[in-house]
Amino acid sequence: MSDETPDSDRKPDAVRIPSVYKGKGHGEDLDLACKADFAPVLGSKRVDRSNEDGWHFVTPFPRNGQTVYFPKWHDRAGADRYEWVDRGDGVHYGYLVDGAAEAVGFGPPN
Amino acid sequence: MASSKRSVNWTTVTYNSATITGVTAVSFDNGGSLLPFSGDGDKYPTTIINDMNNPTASVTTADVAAAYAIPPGTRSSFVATLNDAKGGVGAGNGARTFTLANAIAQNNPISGSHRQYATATVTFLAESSDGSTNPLSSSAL
Repeated sequence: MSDETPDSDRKPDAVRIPSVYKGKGHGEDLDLACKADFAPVLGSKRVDRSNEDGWHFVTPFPRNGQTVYFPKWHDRAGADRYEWVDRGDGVHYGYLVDGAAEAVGFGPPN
Repeated sequence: MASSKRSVNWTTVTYNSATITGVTAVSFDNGGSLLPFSGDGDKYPTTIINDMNNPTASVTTADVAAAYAIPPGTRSSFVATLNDAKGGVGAGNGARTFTLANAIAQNNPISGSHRQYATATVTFLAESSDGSTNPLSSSAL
């Protein structure tokens, strides 16, 4: 993970939030909190959230096959698809690394 | 309208972008499993980890043709929206869409009895293309 934003004008492609994230003013509804807090950040109307191992992976909705790591079929299988930048409060903004946008699904693009 | 924190009925239920109507039940399940360790003179586990998850989903519908069009082995996304009890499907009202990505149809049994509507239930398991990212996700409307 880095402390430097890859490009200050570039919107993040994903967000990772800690499991204890509460958001701003949506009680216990984490989906509503994620929509309110991160849809503007990601430039989407809605966000998709999944429970990962002790954190949440947030992407634009629909997710369209986006994963945290390169898929099993890829030469870089297991490597991070995102460069994660700490926002300073436990929330990380993720920027797709080179080659990651095409590395989705169960096989290389035709 | 704020979320009522209660949910009733499923709408916009789709598989492979085809709408399934006549839906009477939907389920999504993270399918988590725990692996406890104990040894020596232990009488309780001293370590428990979540070693594997096997997400599943299912839909029960009166549209048996739609269900029969999803044979075992088919792979696509299964998507369904759970309505808020008072806010329905309004944006920001508490309704949410669940998506099981890479959902593989496991089975689609159909049953019908005399003077009853026939129903079919399709069950799904799911793959993760990187082996780490959860195929089950949720999204507030």
